[in-house]
Formats: sequence, C-alpha cells, structure tokens
Amino acid sequence: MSDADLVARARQGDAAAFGALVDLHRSAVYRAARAALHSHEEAEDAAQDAFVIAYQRLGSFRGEASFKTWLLTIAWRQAISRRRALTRWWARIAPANRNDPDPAIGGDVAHPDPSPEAAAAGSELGRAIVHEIRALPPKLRDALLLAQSGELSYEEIAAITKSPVGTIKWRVSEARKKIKARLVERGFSDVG
Amino acid sequence: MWDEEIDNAARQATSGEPGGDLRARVLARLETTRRSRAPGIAVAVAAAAAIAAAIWVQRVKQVQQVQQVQQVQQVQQVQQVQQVQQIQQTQAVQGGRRAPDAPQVRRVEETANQLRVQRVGLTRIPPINMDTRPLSRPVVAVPVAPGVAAAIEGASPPPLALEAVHVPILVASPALDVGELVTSPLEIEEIKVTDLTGQ
Repeated sequence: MSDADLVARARQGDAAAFGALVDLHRSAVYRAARAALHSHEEAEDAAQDAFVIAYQRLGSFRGEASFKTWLLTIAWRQAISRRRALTRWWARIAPANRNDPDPAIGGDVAHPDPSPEAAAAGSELGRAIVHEIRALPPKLRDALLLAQSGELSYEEIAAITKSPVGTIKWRVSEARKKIKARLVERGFSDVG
Repeated sequence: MWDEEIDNAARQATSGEPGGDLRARVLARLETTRRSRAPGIAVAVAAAAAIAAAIWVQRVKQVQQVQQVQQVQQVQQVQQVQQVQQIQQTQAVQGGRRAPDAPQVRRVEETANQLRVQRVGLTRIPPINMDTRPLSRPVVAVPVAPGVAAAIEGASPPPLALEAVHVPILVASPALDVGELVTSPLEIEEIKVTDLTGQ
C-alpha cells in the first residue's frame, strides 16, 4: 500500500494505517533528527513528537510534496527547535564552562554508552574528524550529516531545510573543505 | 582518503535506529491526546456557551434598562410639554403677562423621534390651579361702558346686574419737556504726569 493510500486511511481515523506510515519512515525521521541533535534520546523524542504532530496535521497535507518530505520537514523543525532549547539550557546552566561540549551538538552527556562516532573514532584521525565535525558552523554540519545519513537525497534535504539544492551541495563541499583544512592545521597529512 | 574518512564519520554520527516500540509509543500518545482532548473540547464548548449566555443576558438587561430610561424620558418630556402649554395658557389668561416666578421656556424642538424641550432655569414648575369646570350658564356678551351699569334684556335666566364696570384708561404720559440745551467748553487747568513706578 502506498503512502497516499495510508495517508487517506489515516485521515479517516485509521490508526493502523498511520502506524504503518510510522514503520515506513521511522528510520528517515530518526536520522534527520539525529543529524540535528546528536543525542539518541533527544532524536528519538523529536521523532516521536514529529509523528504525533504529523498525525494531528494530516488534514493540512495537500500532497504537493511527497508524504516523506512533508514528514521530514516536520521532524527537522522539531529537531531544530529542540536543539535551540538545549543550547539555551546549556548556556544557562553552564555559563562558566563555555569550553564544555554543547550536549545539543555533541556532548551526549545523557547517553552512558559510547556514541556511534566514538566507535568510529578508534584512531587519532577518526577522533580529530569527529571533533572537527562538531566544530563546524551549524548549517555546514547539518548539510553534511543529513547528506551522509543515507536516507535523504539532496532534493529532500533542500526541501526540509528550505534551501536551494545548489546551496546544500556547496555546504557539504565546504564542510569537507573546512574539516580537511583543520586536519592539516592539526598536523595530519592526507595519504590518499 | 580524507573524504572517505569524513563521510564515514558523518554517516556514523547519524546512524542508529529508533527504539522498536516507536510505533506503539506514537499511537499511545495519539490515543492519550485524543482522550484528553475530548473533555477539554467539551469544557471549552461549555465555557464558550456560558460566556455567550452571560453576554446575551447582559445585553438583554442593558436593552431593558435603555428602554426604561427612554420611557421615563418620554414621559418627562411629555409632562414638560404639557406644563409649558399650561404655562402659556395661564399667561394668556393673565393678559399676556408672565408670572413672576414662571419658568422661562426658551425653545421647543421637535425631532424625528422625540420631543425635546430645551430650557434654561426650568428647575421648578409652580402649581397651576385652574377652574376647568364647565360654566353653569351661557356666556353672553355684555356691552359695557365706564361708569355705566350694564343691563341685558331678554336674557334667560336674568343676567347679573352689573352696577359698574371699571375699565382702566390708559393715559399717555406727558411729553418729555427738554429745556434749552446748553453746552460749555471743557476747561483743562493742569496736566499732571504720574510715574506709575513711583519714581
């Protein structure tokens, strides 16, 4: 059954149809939220909020974009809103520790297990790359992480961030360029 | 080489899956929201209805009060007009003279909806006692003359015998006698200049 059919049934109050939509798009929604929030718990909460809001706003979905794009736009807004709230909270409770990592972008203080990128950062280079990704300006970091999430095309990223496709591509490229420049400054050499 | 490392790190930064119970949690939240909304909507509707009813009752009261005030004002205006008419009749009976303590009626304006009396100093209407009982006998015109008794013939019942009717005679005042007008030139003896500042 297609998204359109499931949406039509969900609009008529069919909870099972909406449940099927949740199952179909849960990974994409979660990863989009994760690109903005970094924390697993925060991303999961944002995804849950996004699905609830999407259900409540099903009446306003006109089918101009795909349901997935519409849903991811809601999820992205939720994640960005949550990230801003976390950043404000962090600035309020830790004004004297400005150098501490912001949990919204990489502190991951609430997660006892090692984060996925921590596992990837087995080497010194890996740790440096993870550090430089966190240090990127938000727009560059968001574009890079969304593009590498494996769930979104450049067109979908452009739609949910309300930016032109060319801008998204430039941001991804610029993010790589900045990370590489920082790695050189830190003394790493590209052997590839 | 670094591009691959960067992409790999970014990919792993967004890797992972939501909990397996995400669907169940979402549906549970939707159910909870729906249940909590139903009483909320009912309360909101009831509150809105109560507010609307209160506003309606208040409006009705206001309209009734306005109508009462308008009725009182109309009655007062009619009474005032009647009183003015009575005063005018009284003045006509008194030979066109206005009673000393009669109110001064300045202007009566009639508008489309109401009769409004604009008055100045009309704070107290003196009681007017008029004998409005019908006459017991027909009115007969009696020619009279100063110092001559009137006699009416053929009147039935016999008319009143008037011994005398005194009619005041207006006598013109004697003409103002102005003597010879004498004019004399103004004589100025001295002009004194006074400094208002006292110096």
